[in-house]
Amino acid sequence: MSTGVTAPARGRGWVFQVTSLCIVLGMLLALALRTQRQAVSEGIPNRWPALRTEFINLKQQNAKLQKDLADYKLRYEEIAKKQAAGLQGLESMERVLYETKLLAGTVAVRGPGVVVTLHDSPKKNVGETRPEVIENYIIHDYDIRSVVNELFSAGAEAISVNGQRLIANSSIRCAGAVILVNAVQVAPPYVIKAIGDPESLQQALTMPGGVADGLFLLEMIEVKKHPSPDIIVPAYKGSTRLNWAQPVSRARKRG
Amino acid sequence: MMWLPILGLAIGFQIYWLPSVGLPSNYAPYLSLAALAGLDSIVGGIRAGIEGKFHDDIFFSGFIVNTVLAAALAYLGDQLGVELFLAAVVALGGRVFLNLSLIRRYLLTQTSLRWRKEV
Repeated sequence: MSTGVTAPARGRGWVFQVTSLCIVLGMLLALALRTQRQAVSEGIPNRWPALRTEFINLKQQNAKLQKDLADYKLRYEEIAKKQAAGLQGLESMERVLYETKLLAGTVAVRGPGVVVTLHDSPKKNVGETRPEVIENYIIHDYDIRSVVNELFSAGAEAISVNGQRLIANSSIRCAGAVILVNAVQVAPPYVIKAIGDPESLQQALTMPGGVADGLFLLEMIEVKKHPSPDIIVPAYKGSTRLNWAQPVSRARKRG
Repeated sequence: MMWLPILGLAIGFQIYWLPSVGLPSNYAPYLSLAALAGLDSIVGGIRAGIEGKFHDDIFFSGFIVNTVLAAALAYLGDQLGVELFLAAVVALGGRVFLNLSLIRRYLLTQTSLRWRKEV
């Protein structure tokens, strides 16, 4: 203990008082440090879900490409064999035509996938009359577009919206109060059927921070997985005639 | 005698560190700021004690009000979009350093005086 050179009249009682509050400060520091550490440790694993989906996607893509490669090899051998046999590969031409039809959407297809239902939000207040508020609670053409786009990017092979098959030159847009798909009016609830890997398709929509986040928040979207091949996506019913586009090879001949 | 506050700090830290529960992590910056404000009050109290100007009522009320106010101001700043957090860190940090330097000076003077007496 030191001699009281600088501490006069009031004595040294203050040291004990300071000490008592120091205990409180120590607790406060511990609490702050704990909470800070918690915040840091919560920050890092947040990237895991995103990385995980990416990893799974890459793996699937890789497996698919491997399979494609094997298929192509087989087909190459087949064609080579047929040509050798003098059949000119007519049968395989037919198969290519059929596959092209599948991709073009001119035949109905079935398979596993998801059924997504979009409808106006049940969370809207009954007495609400302001149009700029009501607007947030109804499904717009861009909601359907972004869901469809997300499904395609997750590997969907065929998609229909209320029975309208989406093909290469399909459009989804609004005209006044209604939504047109392939220039045909559709009415809510909007049922989007997508054929593809049900798991990937569902994950693409329910991913945190994904396009459908806002829709889930307002309970405007329902996603149902169908693992067995019981989803039927109808064929495109409109005209497929092209008036302007011509294959490059033919155009060149004319020019 | 001067090591008592430091011992208290260690004891308090141990008391709260062991149960190992934190608050929700979005409070982390405010808690840190509250701890800094508390440190400022403690150092200010020690300085006042050495100078012989220590008032327990000012000390205790200052500790409580400063910690709460610092956190509340930072929260308000976040809500308003103004970086009041930084202002508090700069002001409190500056005061802590100033007070620490004064305390160091007093302690050094004290030691040198004692040393002279002994010689």
